Amino acid sequence: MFEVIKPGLETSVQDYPGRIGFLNQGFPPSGPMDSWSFRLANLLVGNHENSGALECQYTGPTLKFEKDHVISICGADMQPKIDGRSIPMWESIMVKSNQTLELGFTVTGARSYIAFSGGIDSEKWLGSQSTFHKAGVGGIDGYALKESQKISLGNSKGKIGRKIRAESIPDITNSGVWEIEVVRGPNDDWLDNAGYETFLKADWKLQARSDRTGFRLDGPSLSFNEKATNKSPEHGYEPSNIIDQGYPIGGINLAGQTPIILVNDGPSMGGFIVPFTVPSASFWKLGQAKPNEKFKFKEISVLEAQEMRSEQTSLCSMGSII
Amino acid sequence: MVQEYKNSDLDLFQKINIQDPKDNFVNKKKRIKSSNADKKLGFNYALQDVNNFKNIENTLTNDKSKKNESVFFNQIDVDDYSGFKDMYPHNISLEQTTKKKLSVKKHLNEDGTYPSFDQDIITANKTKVFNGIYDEPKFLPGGDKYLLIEFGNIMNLELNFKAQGLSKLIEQAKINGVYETLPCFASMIVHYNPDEIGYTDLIKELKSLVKEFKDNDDTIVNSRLFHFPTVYLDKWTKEAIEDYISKIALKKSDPEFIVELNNLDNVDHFVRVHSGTEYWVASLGFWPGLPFTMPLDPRCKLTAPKYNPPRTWTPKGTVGMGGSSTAIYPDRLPGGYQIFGRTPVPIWDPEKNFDVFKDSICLFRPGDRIKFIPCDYDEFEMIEKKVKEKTYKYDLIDEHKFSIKKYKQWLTQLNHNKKF
Repeated sequence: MFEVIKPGLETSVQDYPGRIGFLNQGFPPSGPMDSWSFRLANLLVGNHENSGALECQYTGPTLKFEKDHVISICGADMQPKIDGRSIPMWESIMVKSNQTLELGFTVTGARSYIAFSGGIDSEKWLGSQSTFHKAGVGGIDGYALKESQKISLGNSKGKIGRKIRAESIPDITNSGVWEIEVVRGPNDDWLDNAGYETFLKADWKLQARSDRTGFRLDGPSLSFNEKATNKSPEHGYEPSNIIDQGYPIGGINLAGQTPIILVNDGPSMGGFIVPFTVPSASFWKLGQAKPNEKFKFKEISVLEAQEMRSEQTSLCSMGSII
Repeated sequence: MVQEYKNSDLDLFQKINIQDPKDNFVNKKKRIKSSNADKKLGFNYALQDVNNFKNIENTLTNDKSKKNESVFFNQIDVDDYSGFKDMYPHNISLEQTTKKKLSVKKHLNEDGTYPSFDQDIITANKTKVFNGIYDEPKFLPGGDKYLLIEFGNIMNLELNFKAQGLSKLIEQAKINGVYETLPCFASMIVHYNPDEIGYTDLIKELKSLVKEFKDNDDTIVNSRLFHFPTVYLDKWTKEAIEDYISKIALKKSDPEFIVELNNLDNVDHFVRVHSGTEYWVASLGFWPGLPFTMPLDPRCKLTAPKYNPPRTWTPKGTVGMGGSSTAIYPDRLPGGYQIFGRTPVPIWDPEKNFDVFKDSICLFRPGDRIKFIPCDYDEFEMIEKKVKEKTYKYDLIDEHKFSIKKYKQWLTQLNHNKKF
């Protein structure tokens, strides 16, 4: 059990891979944005990779523990401290009863994950502990952490002193530029060649109030094929309009001329085209990117994306733990 | 009594990057004035009809003496529109616009068949870009975990039956690695785990299921019919539109815009046409419980583009349309549809306050039908109060069977000269 002294900025309970199987009722999967760091954090404390843990965004929480617990912190560097003394990341450590864990404003990356041995003991909602706080479901009473909440933890005991191999840690930097892989489709043929090339060549800037539902990008206008302008009236006549369709998570939605990457809590369906999709293995970069940083997109094939995913899956295993 | 909303605007699609929206708006207005075109683009509610609108509200809410049976009703027969004549007297765009109207193509031939778009619409030097229902579905990748199957590029009931039917078939086939499907109007998303099934294997499996799947006109589905009391041309959506115009982009008010695009006489005509048909729930998506619907009477099929850029907020219960699809917003949400009405009846309920939610917190299922029943503010408030007290009874008929064969027969018998 721990008490929330300060909640941080929208700190929420998530599990991996989230709420699967309810797309046809309009529920997004939710789950951690950077599932690479998330899974490693769980493995460090001896949990299954999918156990409920905390996702901290930009500014982390301050938590007071009632019992001894093994924890780990992975992802963005929010300069974690126990009772004012710095503690290492990517490592399992002990917090003793009555000690206070404090995460501050991030210095590198955007999202940090705190895992607890035994996991967070919260009720599952539609099969998952993940918080979809815009709709008020999952997590702790549907929302992000609030001050003075007491949150129960599972009982299993973890080992301290476990670390992650250096080569298994995602490369979260402050360079301000992210190269993000994209797969063409499903609606790539709505752009003309110039539009397609512009998309891949441009520097895109992540807009400020992007969140777990969508990442809005600033950049050049894209041009369209005849398919986008000469179509049946049910689409709506704007070039980016299409008869409403299901959206892939990671889909880069072209709403008018603003690309919006639909992420974990994003809409499942809508009437704008999706010319490119960010594959799951690149999501950790979205999770760690900060507003005003630059995105450069690099096209890869579906098969390459699936290979990247399986490489990442093999990194998120006990083999990465020393 | 207006329902209170959450104060926090949802952030989805929220950040609109205009440095100084007000200046931008003022400048745009100036430009329009200087070109003497303000009548074409002006937001008439805001510019000249505010007082008119207020008067109507007063008439509707205060002056009970003017009530009579033909004006204030609970339910209307599809073919009886006598009640509408006095209901929306704030006729907005009576002046003839000189702007060339965008043509709206015919949605159904008089013999009940669907028009083939490649004949008369596409000029000789243009390639065939759309042909309705594809001979072979298209398999389009959505990253490493999703696949979009497209069956056609028009909106009709047969395509939705196909998407729904195939979705069931895929579910029953229990392909290893396939998590779920998400059918919509003319396409379907397949969500899979590439650690268990690769892209090419998945397509192979799905292609064989598509082959196995036969369109069947004898299909009969259970279809519940919901009546939804709705205030058309209401003050709440008007406020949302005005807010968009003042902060984000200049546009014509949504109902007027739809009138102009679809060659309707005026907004009253629009209300008659829009509420003159039942809507088929093709899918749920975008947000928990949000229904994507299509009009079953092709004479009521309207079209409109989606907002560019999208709106940052929409009142809970708003009724809107984009393309030819109509939706109800289950909560205060961002959105892209043109909006023109509001219903007090909840369509999703995590607390399960009403019997209709006992199986699911989402009201609708694909295959349900919705009929929007125009109502006034008094009725809206009365229902809103009942909803708050948890005593509202959903107005639904749940024993209907829907036969696609009978529907097609009905299409061939339609009187296309009927004026709504």
